[in-house]
Amino acid sequence: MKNERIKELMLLSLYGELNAEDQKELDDYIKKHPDARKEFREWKRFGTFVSEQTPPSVTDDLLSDARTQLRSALRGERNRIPVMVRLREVMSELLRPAVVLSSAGMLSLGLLLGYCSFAPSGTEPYIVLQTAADDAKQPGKTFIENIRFIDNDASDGEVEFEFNAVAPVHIKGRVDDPEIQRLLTHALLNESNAGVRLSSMQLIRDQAAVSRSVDPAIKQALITSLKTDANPGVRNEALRVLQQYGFDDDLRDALLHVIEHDENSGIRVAAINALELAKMDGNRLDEATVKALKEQIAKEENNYIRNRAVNLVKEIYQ
Amino acid sequence: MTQTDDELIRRSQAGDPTAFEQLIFRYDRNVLAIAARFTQNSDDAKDIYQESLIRVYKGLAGFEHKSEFTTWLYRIVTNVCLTFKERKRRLNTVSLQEEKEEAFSEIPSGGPGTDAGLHGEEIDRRIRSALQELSPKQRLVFTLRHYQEYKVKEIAVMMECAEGTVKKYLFEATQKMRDRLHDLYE
Repeated sequence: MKNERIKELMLLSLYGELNAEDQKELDDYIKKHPDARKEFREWKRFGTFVSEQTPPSVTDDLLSDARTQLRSALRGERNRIPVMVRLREVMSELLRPAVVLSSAGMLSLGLLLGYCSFAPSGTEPYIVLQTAADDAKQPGKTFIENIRFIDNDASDGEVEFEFNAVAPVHIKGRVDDPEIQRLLTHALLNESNAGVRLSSMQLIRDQAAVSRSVDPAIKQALITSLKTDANPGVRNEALRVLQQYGFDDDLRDALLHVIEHDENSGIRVAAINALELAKMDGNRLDEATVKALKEQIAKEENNYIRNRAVNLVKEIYQ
Repeated sequence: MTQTDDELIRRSQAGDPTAFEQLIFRYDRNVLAIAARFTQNSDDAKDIYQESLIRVYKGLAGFEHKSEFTTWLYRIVTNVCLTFKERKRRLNTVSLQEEKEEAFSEIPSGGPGTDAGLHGEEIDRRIRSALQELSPKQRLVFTLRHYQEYKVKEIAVMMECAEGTVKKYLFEATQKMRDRLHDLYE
């Protein structure tokens, strides 16, 4: 039998991937060949040694950290895509005559260069430069801001830049309208301004106060905010809104996550309060909850929170 | 009722961000585990995790269900792992030595400071060091087979190569690891 074939069989046998027929072939071979037998014993000792070494596992903290960073990156991606779509729209608008551009100072010159490079031959566009603020006053107008040059060397006839194309959109509708709710959920998860996220949250809270029906997507978005929003005010508000929806396993899991992971002691206290209230409302807190609380008691550095958790465990057992 | 991957993919493709999270959070612990064992460094692991899942996010619109979602996902992860060092080298000017030292000291091995604990740490350090000496493909195949317990066939699908190629990398990796660690188990 070829040496290569034996090596392959030994390797696959080591990893438990040999079928019965091949295993027999290997067994027969090593019975007849002492060198191969010795070699195979070496392989197996190595296999046993490596499998005895437990690799470091991915901790919940590491995963939680990675998810938070991912959410932030996804938020950036979600915001970036519409800008690129809008950029195309605005570029096509720019290529029409009698376009009103908003820009300022030296950047206007660069934009003009860029425009000239992109404009189709034979057209003589009429360009008026005015301030973004003036342009923004006109309803429905797209205005351009924050122009950033990627390549401002026009020696090769081309320049490259990017800018934010902003168009005001006016929407009026009922807060329980699915489209409005979708928009609010989107703002909750993707808006970079914490004030806007908070405002969205408050609108959802107002709606929750009127109607107890829960849109699963909104609830999931609120749980995501509670667990991962960078702003403690937003997380706290998310907790309050979720409490309005009522207690269930999803909220319990989210609260336990907060108690274990939230860096803000105020939010951790609010989460314990929420569990207490749920208990007082007659909800059953199970062994898994007690176990999670006990684990937290063991590692919680804040005396007040630790005592509150101890009391809650006692209450659960009463 | 729990939604299937396909249902979550369709919802994600329709622009539902919560569906995308539900989908990837089914598998992301494993993604992070692969990255952590491949890089031996938690920051690098998080970078690979993020890069992989952002690529999934960007590519999901064009996902046509011709393969399993997980197959596609892990293809992306293995690809990002294999190109990670090169991209990092282009982006940073961190010296290789500095990078190596940082890598070996990054992920804690646990265990108290007893003799047994120290011995365990030493073994752990030696294994990490030996892993770092493998080529990226050898290291990836070895970690996927040893620590993640994927079959050779599955690794071949992930890495888009022939099973024979995976066996070759696995053989080379196992042989090198054996040579470097033999004093620990003999």
